[in-house]
Amino acid sequence: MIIKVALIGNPNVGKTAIFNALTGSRQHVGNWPGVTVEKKEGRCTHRGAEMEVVDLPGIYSLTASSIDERIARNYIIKERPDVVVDIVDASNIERNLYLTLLLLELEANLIVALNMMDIAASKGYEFDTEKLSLLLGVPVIPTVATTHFGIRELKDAIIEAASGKNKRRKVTIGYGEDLETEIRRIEEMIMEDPHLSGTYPPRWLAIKILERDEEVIGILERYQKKDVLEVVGWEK
Amino acid sequence: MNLRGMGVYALLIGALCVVFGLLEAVLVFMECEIWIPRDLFGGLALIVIGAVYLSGVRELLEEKNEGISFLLVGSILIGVFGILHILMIGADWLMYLLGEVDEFPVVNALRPEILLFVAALPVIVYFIRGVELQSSG
Amino acid sequence: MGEIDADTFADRRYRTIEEILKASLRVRGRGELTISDMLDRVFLNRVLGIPIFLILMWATFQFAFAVSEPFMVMLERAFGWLGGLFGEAETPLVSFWSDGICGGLGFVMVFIFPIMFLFLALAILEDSGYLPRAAFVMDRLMYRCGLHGRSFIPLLMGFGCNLPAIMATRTIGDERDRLITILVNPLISCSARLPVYVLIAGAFFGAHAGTAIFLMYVLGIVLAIMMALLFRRVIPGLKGRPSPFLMELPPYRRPTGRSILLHMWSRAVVFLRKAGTILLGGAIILWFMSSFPWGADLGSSYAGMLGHLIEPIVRPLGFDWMGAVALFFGFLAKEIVVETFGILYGVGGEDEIMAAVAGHMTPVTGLAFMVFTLIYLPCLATLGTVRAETGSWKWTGFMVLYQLLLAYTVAGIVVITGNLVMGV
Repeated sequence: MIIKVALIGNPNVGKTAIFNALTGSRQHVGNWPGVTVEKKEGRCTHRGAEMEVVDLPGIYSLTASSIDERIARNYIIKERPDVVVDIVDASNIERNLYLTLLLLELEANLIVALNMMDIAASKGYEFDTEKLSLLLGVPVIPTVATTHFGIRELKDAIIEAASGKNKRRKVTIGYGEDLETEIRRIEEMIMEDPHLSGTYPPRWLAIKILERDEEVIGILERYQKKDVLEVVGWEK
Repeated sequence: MNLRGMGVYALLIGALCVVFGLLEAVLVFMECEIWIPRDLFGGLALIVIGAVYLSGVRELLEEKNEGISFLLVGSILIGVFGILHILMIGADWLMYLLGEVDEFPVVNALRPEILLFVAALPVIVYFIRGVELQSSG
Repeated sequence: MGEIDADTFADRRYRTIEEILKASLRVRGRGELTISDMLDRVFLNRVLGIPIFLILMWATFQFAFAVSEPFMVMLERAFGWLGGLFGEAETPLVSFWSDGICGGLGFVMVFIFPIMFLFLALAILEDSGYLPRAAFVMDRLMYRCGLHGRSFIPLLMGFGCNLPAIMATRTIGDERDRLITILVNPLISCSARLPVYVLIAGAFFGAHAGTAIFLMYVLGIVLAIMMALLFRRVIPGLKGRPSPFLMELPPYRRPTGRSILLHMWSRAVVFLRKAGTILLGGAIILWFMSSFPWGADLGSSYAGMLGHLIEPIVRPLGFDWMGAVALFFGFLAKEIVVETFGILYGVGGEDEIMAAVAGHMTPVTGLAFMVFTLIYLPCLATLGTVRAETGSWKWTGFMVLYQLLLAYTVAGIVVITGNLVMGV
């Protein structure tokens, strides 16, 4: 079995360096279907397991407003990679974790690679990675891609995550009682349609509807979920 | 090095940069034989570097840490220009060896940028050491 | 219900992040001045930021031009020797080898050195983390001019090649800003135009050639900003909303020799690949057109016929028919402009071609030719990308049209003022 791994992260976090460290020379470059965005893929073998790594475009968020963000989010929803590695710039963690939360919402099988630990350390950052891992509910692996520090641990974590042995508590990011009531209401309406809730994570759909994400509203229109659209006051 | 000392140093090098820069730029419009090259943009570049040095002088003399920023960037810039002109001398010399140009005037080659680079070297070395300490500790 | 929107969610997410970090991150010695803070304080300075950017760019082009000269001479001698292997060009086959391959393709190959040195310098600026700061500073300026931010990174990337730069505009959320950034991008001098500048500036401006090249790049940036402002006024609003201004400044790093050399080498490979395909093809076509009908003199060869046909268009700017042919084929790839001169002037070696250039042009027409080459048309590959990225033939056609007009106008201004100043 080949493990499908997707790399994601903000621009300038050393994503390419991690990709190179993981795949070495076994990579090739193509295009994402329909658009001229470069698509890099590579392979590697670790402890007898074969991995296929896809490098997603560098993005800050997962809205439908830019091509890169649409590519990344549709890949995660439609291709359902076995593991998504979110590369986070440890020296700039606050902005970077935003994407991490969005990925958790998408219910991806996530690993956080806490990259650029050297620079973070020079800024005086001391991470409690155990605690961070607990709060996010996903493995957190400290790395320094330029020196290959932590790459082996990252590969181990990928194999473990792909085997479905993540024993961590699943974390849901709460939005406070007012928003949660709305989210739950819409989520229940979505659950009525088994095909829809089987294709997309219902909670994610609910949040995106409340955020007025154009693409998700388009999906709901296609599934003719008029009741949901009415709730958010969306009129054609 | 204490901050006041740095301030005086920055003042000196900054002033020299501005003076040589003005000379290089102004000489373009004058007729005279002098070892300083006539180079409008080279002169403007030196004036900018001088301005960077001078911007930090006041804070340094008031013993504020922030002033080091300007001394640091000034040193980086003069380092870039010093090395650039040394490389250009090397290229000129190669051209002379290849027989493409007839002479290799060493005096003309010694541009003010290189002299100022040498003058700024102690600070540059000081900063390089400082950076190594910060990244290892 | 109405008050809940994307911002509410973003807000709550950041609050969650704050909570998470409070529990898992401890910052030692906060308030200490880091090297990065110190550098930013000067490089992003409101007054000094832009002058520093300009002098570093000047140093870059000075370096790319002056330091590469001896290497160019060496490679050129090698091609000269190769070209003379089979003696005088009396038969078509020997002529093809010495005039077409060595004189044309070989001549343009020599410019691999300025291109490599340019990328060496740009790689140092980029890897050290300075270039994003320069973009930040320029964006701030453009923002004050009424342009949306985030456009300058794609413009800066245009220094290398306009093609990836145009693709990089995808980070701009607003469709109108994106279109405008695409439309003005080819005005930024890419590395393919460098050989033309090196050749002509070297012929006319001697020790100040580096400065002349630098000014071409500055002219490109200024024109791009001016046209962007103009388009913003004229082009009606397009669909889409402005994306939030998120300018991430990567940390400063000491560039490693390995990554810089790798960067330089990868650009050299791109150039070599281009030389092996489109430039080789160009050399073959141009050699054929300038040598046939066999035995005819250059003026009545096929190239001469084509040149005389299109010469009237560029005659007012002072270009002769050879310049016209060079510009005509330069549409395929801008390096071909230089290749054309190599073949049409039919003399070996950069020095002699520079002398030939100086014989065919005045300093004023030389400058006008550089300006025209800068502006007149993006290369074929860039146009294809523009078509793909805008999804519209209309905008692609518009771009070709406005650039031709602009090139003619600016080159005309150069000729007129130049002649006034020189007192001709």
